[in-house]
Amino acid sequence: MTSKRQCNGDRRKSEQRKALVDTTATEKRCASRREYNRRANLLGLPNFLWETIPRPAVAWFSPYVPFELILAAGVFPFRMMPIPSAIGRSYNCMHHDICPYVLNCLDTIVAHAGYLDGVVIDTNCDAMRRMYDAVRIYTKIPFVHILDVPRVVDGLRLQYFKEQLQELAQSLEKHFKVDLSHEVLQSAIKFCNTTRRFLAELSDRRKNGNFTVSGSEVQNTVKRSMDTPLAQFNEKLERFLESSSNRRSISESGPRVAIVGGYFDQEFMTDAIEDYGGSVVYEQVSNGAIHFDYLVDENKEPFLALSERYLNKIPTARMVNNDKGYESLIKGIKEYQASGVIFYSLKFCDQNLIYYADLKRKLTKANMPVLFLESDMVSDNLGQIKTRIQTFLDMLV
Amino acid sequence: MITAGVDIGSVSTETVILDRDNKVLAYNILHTGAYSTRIGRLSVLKALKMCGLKINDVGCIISTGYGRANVVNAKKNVSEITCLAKGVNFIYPGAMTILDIGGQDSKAIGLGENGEVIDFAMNDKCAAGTGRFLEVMAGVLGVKIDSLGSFSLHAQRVVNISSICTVFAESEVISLIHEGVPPEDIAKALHDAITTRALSLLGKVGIKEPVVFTGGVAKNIGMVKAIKNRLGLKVIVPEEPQILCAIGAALIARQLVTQHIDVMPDKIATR
Repeated sequence: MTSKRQCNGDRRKSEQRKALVDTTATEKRCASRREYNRRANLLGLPNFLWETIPRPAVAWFSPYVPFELILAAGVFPFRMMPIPSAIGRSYNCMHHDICPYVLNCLDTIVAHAGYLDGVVIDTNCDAMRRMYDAVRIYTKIPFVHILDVPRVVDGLRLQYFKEQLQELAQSLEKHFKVDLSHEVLQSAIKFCNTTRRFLAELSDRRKNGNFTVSGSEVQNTVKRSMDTPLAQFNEKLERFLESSSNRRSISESGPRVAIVGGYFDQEFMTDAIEDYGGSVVYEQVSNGAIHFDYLVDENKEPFLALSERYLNKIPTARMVNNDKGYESLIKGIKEYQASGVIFYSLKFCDQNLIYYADLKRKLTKANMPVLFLESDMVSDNLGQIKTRIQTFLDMLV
Repeated sequence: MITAGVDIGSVSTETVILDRDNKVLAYNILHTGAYSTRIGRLSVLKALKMCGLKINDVGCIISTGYGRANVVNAKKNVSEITCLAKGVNFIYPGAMTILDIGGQDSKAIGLGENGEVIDFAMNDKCAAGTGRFLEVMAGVLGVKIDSLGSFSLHAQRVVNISSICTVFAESEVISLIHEGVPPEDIAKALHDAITTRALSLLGKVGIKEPVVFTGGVAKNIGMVKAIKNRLGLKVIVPEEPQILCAIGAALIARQLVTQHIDVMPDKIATR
């Protein structure tokens, strides 16, 4: 009798456990993660590895550096996209309450100085200028150049920036002992324009309600365009665009979100948006539309054409007048049919924080919901950020 | 068919069971501890036991809170802000603003006329101005956390604590103790410091009357008094301020059941 009761009790317990522990969901999650990893690397390019980068290599840090000049000098240009980690040696070189992107870049530069033949730093913000000082003082990188970028766009500044670019070209010629002729520069410009066209075409596949590529795929591909030799990248992306014109639409009916801000390298945020049923359809960030929108005029004198393209493209928060940035955001929201905006800023980024106040006022007036997210790239409170994203998506439904 | 809402927070876990008329059949509040999956399961089973029901009687479970992804048999997880808004609107229709101070979060939520979330703000990633802050300070003052609020009501004079950073405030409190400031006065100063922080959070979403004050910290009489005094508006404190989020989750579960949406657990969104 006792044993029968015990047996029934055990069976009940086992049924309860079975009802409570459903492993299917976990399995599905893992499968979806594997699927995401496979999909995000659209072009199947190998990961960036310091040990295998083509030499000589020169790093750049902001969307105001015309990397066409570096490419024309026969040097491999790549954007520094540090893997966020606990800040180490850069805390010895700079104060702590400063842009985490700059701190991470400096850490990476110090750790991999042996693989770097040069850096081109621009006067994007004060943190960048401090990084220029720190790189000069604390590292032995052979080529360290600072490029002064105006904050206002007019005829005088366009001419000034053109002269700055000519100065950079001369420094590159002198250091790498090359002749940077107009023909070579024209050809580099054409090459980079091709990359921009391909990236824009890829991003456009999310336009007008279409969705044949996901936000994480586009973001990853744009990143790869910045740290892969362009010949290899262009060939791969062109092949993908040709072969995937009939790619089936990724089923999505959730809210479509645009991301605005500075440097955006927070894959987990895009993952969270996609996991919670939303999708990222437009990125007006320095490694998004700001990088590939607007082409360099191939018919003009190359230095003037570069000066015009880089000062007239979608502005970042550093520029005095950001009306053009707002206009292109509104255009992007309409074309990509976004129903909400996530503004992303790095901690201590005064420029973006000031820009946000103005942008929020304008977007609220236009009845466009905005979510502000801030990150120090390293020790983010993932739980809180996920809560904010999930609630925001709920609000948009 | 009954529905359940499970709210796994950083400090406490709550489960609410609602019957088909949305009446609360049972609820419990447990300490979360280090194993949120286990506590979620335990909390559901305990609540069911309280009303003499079994897991198979539950039509749908919705999970929320920090550990929302760990309730394995939930139909889906919903953010605590959405659930809280739902729960507050159900109990207090017409509420316009929610202030929620929990174990490691403080939130201000602006509600629309139909109880929908129209704006929200959360504290930064540190635990300044949350229940954890009060816990640490109660330890420094040698007072039990449950009686810190009533203890602060005996304050005689106003003392200022300039920092709400848990680390810096602890140093300030220790300095004040050594200056001979009575602990009651220090306790009140701590509540005032959190209130200042909470008001700035509320300012971000806009304060509209009536304000509902929820979360574990709303059980602290000293905090309630400080918030009421500083706001000067109608502040409602629920009888059990910790379970409104779980009520909201159970109500969302009810919606799914009513809409005949497949309520079998099939997808948990977060990793």
